[in-house]
Amino acid sequence: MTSRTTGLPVAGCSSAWWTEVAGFVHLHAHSHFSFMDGVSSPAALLERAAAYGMPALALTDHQGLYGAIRHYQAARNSGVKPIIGAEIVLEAVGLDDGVTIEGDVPPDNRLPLSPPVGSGRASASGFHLTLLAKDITGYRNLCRLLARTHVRTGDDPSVVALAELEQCSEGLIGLSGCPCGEAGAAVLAGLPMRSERALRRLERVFSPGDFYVELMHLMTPDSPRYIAALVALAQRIGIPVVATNNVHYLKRPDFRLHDVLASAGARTSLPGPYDRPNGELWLKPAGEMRLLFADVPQACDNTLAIAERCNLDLGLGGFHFPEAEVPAGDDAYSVLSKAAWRGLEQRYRPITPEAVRRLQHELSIIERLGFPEYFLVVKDIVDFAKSRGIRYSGRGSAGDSIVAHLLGITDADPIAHDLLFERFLNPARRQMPESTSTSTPGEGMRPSPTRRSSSWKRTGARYASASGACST
Amino acid sequence: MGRNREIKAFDPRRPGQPLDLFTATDTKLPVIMEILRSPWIVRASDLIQPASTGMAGKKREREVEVVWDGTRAGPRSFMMEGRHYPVDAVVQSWAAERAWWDPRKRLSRRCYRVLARGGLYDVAYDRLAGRWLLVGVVD
Repeated sequence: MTSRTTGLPVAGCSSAWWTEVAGFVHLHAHSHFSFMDGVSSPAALLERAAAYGMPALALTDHQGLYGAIRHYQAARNSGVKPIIGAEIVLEAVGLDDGVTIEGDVPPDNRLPLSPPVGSGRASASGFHLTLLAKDITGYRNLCRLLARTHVRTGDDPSVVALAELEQCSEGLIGLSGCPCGEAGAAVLAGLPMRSERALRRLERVFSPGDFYVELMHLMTPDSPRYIAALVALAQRIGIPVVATNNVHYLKRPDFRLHDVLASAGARTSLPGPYDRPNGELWLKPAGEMRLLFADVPQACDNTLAIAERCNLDLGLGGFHFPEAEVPAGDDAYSVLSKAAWRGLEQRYRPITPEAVRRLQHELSIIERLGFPEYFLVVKDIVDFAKSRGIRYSGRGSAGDSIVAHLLGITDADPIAHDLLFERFLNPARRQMPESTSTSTPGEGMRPSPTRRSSSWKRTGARYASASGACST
Repeated sequence: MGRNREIKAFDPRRPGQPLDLFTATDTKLPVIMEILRSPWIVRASDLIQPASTGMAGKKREREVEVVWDGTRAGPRSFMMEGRHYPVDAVVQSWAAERAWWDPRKRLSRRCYRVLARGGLYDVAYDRLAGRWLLVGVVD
């Protein structure tokens, strides 16, 4: 497979090729979806990465996946492999046994928390950690983790607990984070033992080989010592290292805009909450990154290895329905067919050849277009409404379907009223049925307005994985 | 000789004493490089202390002429007060961008810490003035 714009291989190519030609992949990059922090759009970052000939690019915005789909789509169009991740804020994990919060640590040994910018309610409440989705399981876990984090009640900060990360770590690759991560902050504070404890605990959270010590050469006088200390710790523990650049802008002169955004975000005057010593958080080409990490070449090699292991397919453009409950040994089409034929016996007396032909025709189209689960979910919602005495009605072109009629979703007989099924589902127009094109499953039927909240509450609880949220 | 004449006159290489770090003169550079890269050793000039306590390093700022080495992306040599300093090794480099919003305090430099003639020097290219400066002679 080759890039459409660069003509370079992007997947399935050998490690030797990646190392020799591509050289480096940025695995820690913020777009302007890191509000009041990142400067560049996902598309601009991708365009530059493609121009550099980079085979992949990760987007790791603060505490969210707001730019993930744009990044994914733009990457596919530009021939760069998309890697989706996020920079979360994690509770302290390297504390001494018996100490649970940073405030209980003696003042001299406390670490500076992340600056009050970029991470919303989690700012100044924990330590950064970079997560990358290896596959769809990892992506789901990342969504789950972030959703849980953002639905905290009251004034609780959006900080991820170690226990939550353990539950959601499958399919994720973890990087130990920037100098605002616990391991990095501890090294800078001269507390290598705390850094080691944090690294050891984090390593146990992820699958073997899925946790890396993140090295950043931020071009400060301290950078060589910072890197050397982390490399020494990584070697002692046996964790691989990986190089990143904490990209916040496209090119060096953009650092001014980053400073201004961060200052405004933290409601402070310049130089702002980070007080950056320079403007080096730009999307550097592979050669420059290799030069910075000339003493630790494996850190750059590992960016390519990680990029090769991240193969996320979101299946955009297809339909993804919530999974209906299907008995063992059956599949969704089988269950739907049985229910429809049972409905035919009940609704049609006598059963006419026309009704049989119509049902067979509709079932074949439903199966071909991949909608059996959709019908089962809507039927489940209808059954729930019936069981609770909630009035409802099927609506729109759903009334044209004999299957909907036989499942009890609609009451009008489409044969008696000479209704055309193709208005509802049409093999020549592969999209959601007309009445449900922008809706969640079950929108083809409307429960009584007075009972609607309870209906949607139950639907949401049962099929929550089909819903999404984006807070701005 | 001043008040510290005994210290200055002290000969650390007493007869028969082995050279612990350097087995020969040409092994000096790699050993120094390793020491400078050590994460656990901090140079006195890096310590932030009040001026009254003194620092082992000296902060200077004077214009120098630098010959650039494109292959290793660092200075090849520099001239200071008419004396030529060939660079034995570039120890590290860093960038400094400070107070870009204030024309009076603004600073934009690319700095290189180099070993030359047995000493450690910080030379910096001032992007605003377009000239090379010696900004530190350390330890």
